[in-house]
Parts: sequence; structure tokens; C-alpha cells
Amino acid sequence: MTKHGFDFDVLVVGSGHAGCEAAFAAARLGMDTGMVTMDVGNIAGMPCNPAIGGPGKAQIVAEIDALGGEMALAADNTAVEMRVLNASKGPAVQSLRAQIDKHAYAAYMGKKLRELGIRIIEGMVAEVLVDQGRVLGVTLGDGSRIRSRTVVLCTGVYLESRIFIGDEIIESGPMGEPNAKGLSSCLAQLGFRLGRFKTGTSPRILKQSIDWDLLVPEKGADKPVAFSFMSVPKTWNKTVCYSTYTDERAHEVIRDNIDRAPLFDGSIRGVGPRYCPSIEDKVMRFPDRKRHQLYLEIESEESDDVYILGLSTSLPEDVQYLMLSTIPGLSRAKITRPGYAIEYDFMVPSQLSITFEVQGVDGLFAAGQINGTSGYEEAAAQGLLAGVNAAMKLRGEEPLVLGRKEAYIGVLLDDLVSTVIEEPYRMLTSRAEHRLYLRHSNADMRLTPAGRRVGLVSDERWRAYCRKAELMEKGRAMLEAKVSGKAIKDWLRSPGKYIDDFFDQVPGLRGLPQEVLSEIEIEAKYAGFIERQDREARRLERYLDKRLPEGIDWRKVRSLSRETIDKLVRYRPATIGKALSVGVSPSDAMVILAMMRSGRLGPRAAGGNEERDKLAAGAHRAEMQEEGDRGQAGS
Amino acid sequence: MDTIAAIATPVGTGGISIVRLSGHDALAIAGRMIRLRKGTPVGKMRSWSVALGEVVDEDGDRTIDECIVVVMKGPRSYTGEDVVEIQCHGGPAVAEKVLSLAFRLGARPAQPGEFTRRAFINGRISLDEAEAVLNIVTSSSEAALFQASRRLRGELGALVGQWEDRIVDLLAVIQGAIDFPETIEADRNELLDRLEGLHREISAVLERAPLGLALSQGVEACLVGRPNVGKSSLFNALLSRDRAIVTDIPGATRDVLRETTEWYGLPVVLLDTAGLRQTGEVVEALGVERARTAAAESNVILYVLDDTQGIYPEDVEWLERWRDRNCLAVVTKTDLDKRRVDLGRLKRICGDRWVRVSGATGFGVEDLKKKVQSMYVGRGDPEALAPGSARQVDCLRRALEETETAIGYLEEGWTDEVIALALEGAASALMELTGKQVSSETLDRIFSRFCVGK
Repeated sequence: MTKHGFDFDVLVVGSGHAGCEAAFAAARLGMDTGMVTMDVGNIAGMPCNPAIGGPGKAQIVAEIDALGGEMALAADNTAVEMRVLNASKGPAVQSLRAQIDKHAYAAYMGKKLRELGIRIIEGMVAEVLVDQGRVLGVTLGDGSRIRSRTVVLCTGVYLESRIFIGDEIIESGPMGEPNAKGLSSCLAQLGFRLGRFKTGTSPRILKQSIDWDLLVPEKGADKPVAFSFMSVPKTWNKTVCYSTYTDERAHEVIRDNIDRAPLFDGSIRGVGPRYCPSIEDKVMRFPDRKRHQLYLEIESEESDDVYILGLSTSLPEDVQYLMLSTIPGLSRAKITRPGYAIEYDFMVPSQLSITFEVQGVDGLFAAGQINGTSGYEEAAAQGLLAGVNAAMKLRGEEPLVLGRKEAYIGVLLDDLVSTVIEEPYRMLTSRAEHRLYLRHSNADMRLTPAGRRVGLVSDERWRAYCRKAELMEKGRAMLEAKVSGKAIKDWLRSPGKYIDDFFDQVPGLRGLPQEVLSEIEIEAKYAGFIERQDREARRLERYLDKRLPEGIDWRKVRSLSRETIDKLVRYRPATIGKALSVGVSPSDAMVILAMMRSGRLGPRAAGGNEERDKLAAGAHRAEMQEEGDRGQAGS
Repeated sequence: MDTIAAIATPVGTGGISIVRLSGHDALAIAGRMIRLRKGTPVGKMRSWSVALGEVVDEDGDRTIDECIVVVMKGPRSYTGEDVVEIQCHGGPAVAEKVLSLAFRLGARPAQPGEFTRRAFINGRISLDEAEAVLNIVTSSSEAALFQASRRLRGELGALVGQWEDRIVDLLAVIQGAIDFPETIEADRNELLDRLEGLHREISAVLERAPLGLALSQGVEACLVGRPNVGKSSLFNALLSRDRAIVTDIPGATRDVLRETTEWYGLPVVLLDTAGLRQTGEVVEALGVERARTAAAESNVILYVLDDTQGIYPEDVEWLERWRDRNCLAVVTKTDLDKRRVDLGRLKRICGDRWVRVSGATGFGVEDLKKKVQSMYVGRGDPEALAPGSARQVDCLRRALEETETAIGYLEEGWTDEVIALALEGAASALMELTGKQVSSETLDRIFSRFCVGK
């Protein structure tokens, strides 16, 4: 028992990637932290591919690191291979992707939980205890109660989940785990809106049943890399990833058996992610594609399971076998666990506040797939913020909130709370309008101070940050030096000029560490582009990102079409742009904008006809009014 | 919304005048004004039906006119509200009487463009279409009307939509290749080719912007010159009627006269101004000042020279000052055959931008009109698609610049992430015309075009 008769300050429900980061953060901030999990043997599991990183996701991992989270260090410590994706497409979008030994990863995270003194309780949470709008703890399936001042729900895809393998439908969590029953209906009773999503995974096959010599080896990174700013970068030249492909024979198997696919016979209601279609989806939607590439990833040294990237499916197991038998290198493959689709409940994330606290229940937080996202990295980032903010709330301090311009995590947060999430949300670099600035390489400079402010950043990390920041200042000053009448930083704006071209003129540069050199080079090279991107983002902000006032009863705003009102009530778009994206007509959006500009749109504004007329006139562009004034009255 | 009323047809012309009512009480007001032949009330008429009736005054005992009534009930009407159109006999007096009766019964006068504005507000038409309608309203010539109606039919919109589509396609490839490097590849040479194609097409339409703007908004052409060189008689000749007072007394024209006309399809607002000279007379000095302002603000300057007087030093001064403007030297009074204006000298100052005319005989007048028209229409097809408002021109110009930037980045060898930035700019410039969002459109495109994912 801690203060005020509570068992915990922060109770984390779930032991996945969100749950772990939430628990670490809370514990590091001095909170008495507990974790409830249905299986103490399943900590930070990877039920989909054994990999971390990739475009948009690697940047998130770096941000988690800069803030003082664990994921990057865990990945660096348990990777079996790393590759740099998009190396030629620019410094901001180049992204590290690591293949992970999933058992080693789980062991690393489990050890951290113990080191931080986080108490782990095995059990299924059936109910969130709420009294007068305030969370008191949870009730487990066996009726026992855990009292906690805050609760962080990180329940992943377990809420009322169902597994589909052909016509076999099992009430179950991923990988044969039990699902979580009861919590969904409890959340619904508390008044939260739930949605249903679907995702899936590919069959696992036995390492020894693969003809490895028929596969194409994929090479690792040839220059030293690491996720964490605190890790020593390593070179990877071991080949651990191999590729093969499906061809017309496999596609024929799929087409012949499509009537046995739950995705196509209507038994799956949940919405699946477009960026991660099943193989049957790919074959049916893109009949012109003659082959689909597959990658084989060994899940762990301690296991014989091999993951097939690209072959997510919910076809019956016999069809999965038929399909495999046609794939080069996999014709003898033995399935250790068939591919499946999983359908689960999530909480519509517009009910979140920007601290990941759920609106309406004081002290209840939610992070990870329960918020409609997908991906280990996206989950971990939310867990970190939810854990920090649960602690900050108890301490009575300013929460940690990141903006779209500061971090990918800020983009994630903003998209979750203010847009309509129509499919499991995955981070993509295209979602970040400040993409050129939000680089892996500067995540430490961007976010370490924020992590330090809340108390997650260790003294060691802080010293490393200060040292680098100081060297960068020095480096920037050196780039002011003129060469042939022009500052070096301006020379660097040309595409063919690099910082090493100026080592002779400014010998001091030679003494700076590589990460500092490359960072100040990018800064100089991209200065113009980043300004431009800022400008563009600001320009759009004026119209599209204009936030709609809250607490308006749109049904009383008579100036808008019924269709628009329906959409505003249903989707509650946070901004003009979001309103457009849910289908509000541009003309109605302009009327709303005009009402906002004239300050007449408030909770009380249910303006009469005359009112709206005046407002609408303001919505017209100046030149349009001119044209109108010249027109005849009868037009 | 309250009920507005106006005469929808040009005042004073045509065999019929239409009085239009729109708003909540349009049917009720029309019902009190009109007695239908078949005896039923107007309010009972079916939407989109026509009936014969009489307009009667408030007391119901005096018939103002016989009329045809058209009822269009909201939301299936132009404005989206209940609309009644009353067709009465031509002549301003009758239509005015009908209109003022409508006002007495509760309608209020419509503001210019208000019917269109209501159509826009009620979601009946888009901003693009609203602009096009307002252009039709202000169109005073056939070519302009044709331009505007093509835009209304959405041809410019369709073209912009097609460009937007192509840019989003390019963005989908480059963004897709960044976010799904394992499955999508971007071919820079193909990208360059396609961007250059787009660039050509957008610039071709943009080149017609002056024409589009001129056709939809009209061109101001200003007659200026020293006193008594024949500006006012030329003004009358260009309008084919005696609009300005013509005397031999220098300085007769004081204020700026302004008349609309049309030259070979180009809507023109023709301005006659006071002669440019130093004067101690207060009213005339004010006139001179106004002439200078009018010339400065107009699109075309018609600088008038008197063939019986020749070129004065101040003529040279003015002509040189306006050398970079659309300025045409007009030599008048050529019927008197004095030939005092030295054409060789004039050519040295104005190049080929001069014309010899006679206000008295009409000689050269058509030539002048054609020359001005060709400044806008040029050799191009006057009916080719062109943007018709400053907003459209601005969006297209930005799209063109961004396309140019993207081409430049590609040629200089910048990375894909930088090229994507310029492409996004081009797409968002075009999308400002349609109100879509670049990021979500691009994502949708990536998923519909490419087979991505693990």
C-alpha cells in the first residue's frame, strides 16, 4: 500500500511495447508502478514481424531515445541485423530498420522491469473502477481489486479479439493467447465510443524446412549505425535476411480458394490497414502483378520460427500450405503457426486529451493499439507519453506534450486526437509536414531538453547532449568563415558541395566528431528548404489547420447544410482541414471560417438568417465581392 | 433566409422583364401579388411549373400586368431556396412597378450578386462556379460570355482537376517510394518528363490569363492627349454615337467620361479625358489631374495626336513615359490630309504601335479596335480556355512556379525528399481551387495505385 490507501501510483494494464515504456517512464519518475499482464511470460512480444524501425518509425524510436525511453537501447542490444532504408533519398527520410531477436528483446525488457522495481501482477483486467469521474483502480477477472491513483490502458489488440484462420473463428488474442473479455463493455458503459479494426500476420515456418540456397541474401548496413544516441554504432555485414517471391502459381491457389477467405466472405467486419494488406488482398486488388516479394526473417536464435514478411493471410491452413508449396525455397516449408487475421476493439482516439488521458475519466490514460494505432514504435511512443503524463499529473507538474513541428510523436498525437482514424494508424513520413526537420539524426537536439525537464533523461545522457550541443555551436560558427567571398554555410547550399571540401580552409572542422559534422552540414544544406517547408506549413495552417471552436452545438448553427452539420456532429473535426477531409463542402468550410473570423461562432452563436447572411458575405474573397458589386442585382 | 427581389433582366431592353424573388417568403409574397388564371393560389403550384396570371396591386382591384409565373422550390432551385420568377411585359415602368409591389409586401432589394451568393452559401454551386456566374453577369460581350460559360460548365475546373490528378500521381510515386522503399521505386527521368509536360500545359493556359481576365472583367482603354486633338470626336466614333460634346474650344472635356462597348469580342470600357496641359483654371486643372490618373490606372492608353498639328515635345515626353505600357499612338484628323505628324519619327518612338484614324469619316477606327483587341487576344484562339479571376490566376501561377522549382531540383540532383517538397507545393496550389488536402489525397493515391505493405 502506498499513499492514501492505494496499491500504486501508476498501474499499467498490458505488458506490450506501450505498457513497458509507460511503466519505465512512471517508475523512473519515482512513481510506485505496477503492471497487470495476462501472461508474465509475454513481455514486449512481437506477434508480427521481428523488426523495429523503417520510414517514420525509426525517427519515432530515436525520439523515444532522446526523451529517455528504452526502445532504441533495447533494439540496439538485441538486433541481429540493421539496414539503412532510403539512404539515397535524403538525410531526413533515411531510416534505420533492425531485425530483432524477439526473445532476446523480451528478455531485455523483462530485466528492465525488474531493475526498476515494477511489480508485475498476472491477471486479466475486467473492469476499470471509476467513482465520480475519477479512476480508482481495476478489477481483475477473479474479482480481486487493485487500487491505483492512475491507470494506463495498454491492452493492445486483446479487447474482445477474434482470430480468423479460414472458416475457423476463435475467441482469442494474438499467437494463441487468451483475449480480454469484459473490459470493452466496461469502457462502453463508461460512455466511450469503441470501434473495431482488423490486422493480420503471416504464417511462421520451421527454419529447417526452408531451402535456404534457393533464396536471395539481403545485405546489412555497411556503415556503423545505431538507434540510440547512447549506443556505440555498429556495422552489420552478417546476412540474416533472405528474399523470395510469389508467382502466378501461388496467385492461382489464392484465386481458387478466395471463397474460403474470411476477408472476402464478409465474416470480418473490422477495418484493416491499407498499408499492410494480406496476400489475398494484394492478389485480388492488383491482378496485373505477376509476383510479390517476400522476406524471410528468423525470429530468434532461441527459436526455429521464421517470419515471412509479405505473406499476411487469413486463408485456411491447408490453403496456406498449398500456397507455400509453389514458392521458391519454401516448397517443403512446415508451418509452425498459421497466418491469421485478428479483429479487435479500440477506443476512438478523439476521446483522448493531448496528454493521453481519456476525456471524462480523471486519471485514466490509454496508449498503443487500444487507441487505434498499429506498430510497436507507435505504441511505445504513446506509452512513454502516457506514463510520463500520469506521473506529471500526480506530481502536479506541466504535462509533456509534443507538437507537430517538434517530433513525429507530436504528429502522431495530433493526428490521433484531432482527425478521423479510419484504419489502424501507422506513422509514415508523408504525414509529417515538417519532415525535413524531423530527422533521426537531430532527435537528440530536438527532444533531450524536454526529456530532461520531466526527469527522464539521465545525467550521463544530459552531459552527452550538452557536449554535442556545444560542439555543434562551434561548428556552426566555423561555417560562417568566408571562402572566396562567400560563407561556407552558403556554399553548402549547392548540391555538389560537402563539408569535407572545406577542411583545408578551416582546419578546426577536422577536429569535430562525424555526427556533429554531418549534422551541421545538413543544417546548412537544408536551411533554405526547411524555411520553405515552414512557410508552406504556416500557409496551410492559416486555413486548414484552423482549429474549430469546441463545445459548439452545430445543430443550432442554422447557416450550414444538414449534411455538413451531420458530419460535424459525427466526426467532431478539430480543424477546418479535418472538416474538409470528412466531407464538409468547401463552401460550408468557408462559411465556418468566416464565422470564426468575425468571432460569431461560439457556444451561444446560433445566429439567425440575417446573421449568417452577413457572415457568408465575409467568406467571399475580396475580388469576388468586386465582381459581385459590378454585377446586376438580378444575378 | 429573408426574401430578396430584383429585376433579373437588363433594364430597359427586351420584350420581357423578369422579376425574381428568392427566400423563405418568396411563395407567400408572390401569392399576394399574383392572381392565377385558373384560380388556384401560387403557393399550390408544383415546383418547376409555369402558370399564366395577372399581377394585381395590394388591394387586389387593379391589374398591373399580365404575367407568366415560374415556381422553383428549394432546395432544387438556383439559390437553394424557394424562387419565383415573374415574367412581365418589357419596359422599365412595368417591371419597376411589379418590383416595388414585391418590396411593399415584404421582400427587400437584392444586393449585386446576392442570388449567386445565396446559391454558394446553400451549397448549390462551388466557389469556382460562383466566380464564373458573376463573370457571366458582368460579361458584356459574346466571347466573354462564352469563356465564362465554359468555366461554369467546369472546363477549367476539369483541366485543373486533371493537372492536380497528375501531380498527385507523381507525389504518390515519390512519397510512396520513401514510405514503402521495398515496394515502390521512383524513376527520376520519368518524373522529369512528366513535370515538363505539366509545365508546358499550365504555362499555355496561364499565358491566356490576361485574355481571360480581360474577357471576364473588361479592358479599360483611356483616350489621352493634348487639348483639342480630337479625343472626344474619336470617342464618339469608337462608340458609334454622339456621347461626348465636341467643340473647337480646347479644354471642353472636364470630367472623365466612361462608356462600355465591345471590340471584336473584347469588352472595353472606353474613357474620354480632359486634354493634358498646364492650366490656371481650377476645374480644368482638376480634369487634367483626373485624366492623368485615369491613364495611369487603365489597361490601354490611346495617346491621341493631331495630324493637323504634328508632334509636340510634350507628346514625346508622354509617349516615352508610357513606352512600357499597352500604349497606342492614334493620329487623328487624317481626313484633313495635313500630314503634320512625322510618321518616321513616330515609329522611332512607338515602334509599330500607332494607327491613323479619322473621327469624322470613320477611317481607321476599325483598325484601332483590332489593334487593341490583338494586344489581348493576340494570335491565340480567343475561345481557348483561360482563367477568369485573379484567384485562379494566382493559384495557377504558384503551381507553375513550384513545378519549375521541382524541375530545377531534379536537374541539380537534389534528393527525393526535397523534390517532394516542391511537388507538394504545386499540388497544394491547385488544391486551393478545389479545397482538398495534399497529404490525405497522396496517401489515398499511394494505396490505390501501389501494392504496398508487408
